[in-house]
Amino acid sequence: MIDIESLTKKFGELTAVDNLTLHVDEGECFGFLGPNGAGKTTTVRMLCCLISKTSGTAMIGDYDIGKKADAQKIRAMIGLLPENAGLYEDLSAYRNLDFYGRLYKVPEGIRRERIEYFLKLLDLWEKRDVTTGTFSKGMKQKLAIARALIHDPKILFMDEPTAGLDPEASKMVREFILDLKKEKHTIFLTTHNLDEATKICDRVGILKTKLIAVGSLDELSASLTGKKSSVQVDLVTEEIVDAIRNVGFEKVEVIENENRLNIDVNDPNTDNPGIIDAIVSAGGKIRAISGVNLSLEDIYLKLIRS
Amino acid sequence: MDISNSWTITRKDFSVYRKKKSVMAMLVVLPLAIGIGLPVLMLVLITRKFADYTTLSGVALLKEAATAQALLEAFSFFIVIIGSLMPIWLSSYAIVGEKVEKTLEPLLATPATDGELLLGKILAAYIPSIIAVFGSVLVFVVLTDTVLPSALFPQPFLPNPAMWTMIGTVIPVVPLLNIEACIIISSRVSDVRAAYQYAAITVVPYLLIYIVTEISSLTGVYVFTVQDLLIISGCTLLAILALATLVRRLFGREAILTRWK
Repeated sequence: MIDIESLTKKFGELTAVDNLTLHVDEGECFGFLGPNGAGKTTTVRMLCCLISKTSGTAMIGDYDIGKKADAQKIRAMIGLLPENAGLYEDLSAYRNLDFYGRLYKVPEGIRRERIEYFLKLLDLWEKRDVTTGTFSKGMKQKLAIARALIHDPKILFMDEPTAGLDPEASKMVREFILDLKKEKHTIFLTTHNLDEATKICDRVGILKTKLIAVGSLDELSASLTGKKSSVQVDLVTEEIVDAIRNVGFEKVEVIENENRLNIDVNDPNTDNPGIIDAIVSAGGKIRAISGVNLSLEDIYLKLIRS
Repeated sequence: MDISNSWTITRKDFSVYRKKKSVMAMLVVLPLAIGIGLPVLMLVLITRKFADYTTLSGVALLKEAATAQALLEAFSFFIVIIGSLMPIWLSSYAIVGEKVEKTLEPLLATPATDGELLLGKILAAYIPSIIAVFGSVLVFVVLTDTVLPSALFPQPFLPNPAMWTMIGTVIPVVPLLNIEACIIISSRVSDVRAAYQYAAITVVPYLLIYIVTEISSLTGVYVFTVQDLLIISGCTLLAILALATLVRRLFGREAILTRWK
């Protein structure tokens, strides 16, 4: 759905996005992470044909962001939720959606149906004739999401969708994004909220002008830590550690206060039975066994700092 | 170009204006004040000199009539000033207002082309200004012909050829120049009032013309002619064309998002 190859954007001497290569599948929710000034918004703006690229290519569906003739078609097939809700505060909720529906050429009957559908879905129907200037930040953000979806776009770009929202509104927006995911919308989400990315995104990319890493949480974790099995026992003893090493697993990390052993493995599926046998034969009692996964926050911080 | 996109944007801006008291006041009060105020002022100036013009005759009456006509011609041009002030106020709201409320990015993300967006914004400032100015002209003409002493003006004086020239050539083009100026200034300021104040500089040439003609008509040195108005209109058109390329370049998506302050 989104194919990016060596995409670069320079503002004079400053390189905002450097040689970005990325692929996002149809129906995927992709999280784009990175510190302030990493080039996330610039990337989104390039993909939405709001600003030009300096070099490289990017395809949105079958359309090339570099071709002037394709720009309008791309903008018609995407929805954008910018960092600021950007609603017309003197106009009503209904009028805001109607205006964008008209610009996206949504036929009148369908436009009316969709406005009603979204306003009811987002609990704003009762406030449809109220000017949005009186809305809370959460209500504005909900309406901005409805605006981005009014033309039923195939791809939705969301820039910090829950920034500045209270926990309840954030949860509501998050759940709404998950519903969109179920409806097979392709979602490209930039966020600082790592917890949100963990909950929503199928894969994440970490950008710091260049793309530092991309993959699912498990893939990123494995790429940083290697494959590890974590075994929790009743009591860690020398015999247990020696027994594991004797069956060929030299790298054993002991976390004494948790009675846990983190063991480097090649493939947990084939290696774990041998480890279990070794622990049991050394008199150990296994409480739990699992893979070792870093949190997205750990991964992010490690990658950004490195 | 899809004109319906531009019209959608224009209509949206009209809806926004209706909610802004200052904009509505500018559109209604100012043209009315000028349309009513100028004839009243004219009447005051004329009657202060002679309470009753029927007492005059011959050369004296002709001389007074010529002075009054010259004054009226100069007053008529004041309406051009109004015609140049209103589009500045409106385009400040239509463009800088979008910037201030951060509504530009979602608007730019729609399939509307840069040209359609620009046309929509120009129409949003132009149409109400022109309607208001013509409304002002109508009030001014009707009231002037009604209140002026019939001894000085036995026939309705307005609209005379100069007024028709102004209506047909000067008033329609002056707002376009001011809107262009406002777009250029909008790329450098992020406040509606600042945009208005800077763009108001474009009114200065017309104000100077007005002052010069007012003084010269009062002193009897020179009276505005149709030819003068045509020259003013032509110069304004040239300025509009000269600025058009710059405006087109400044009103591109990338320029708005990356270079506008």
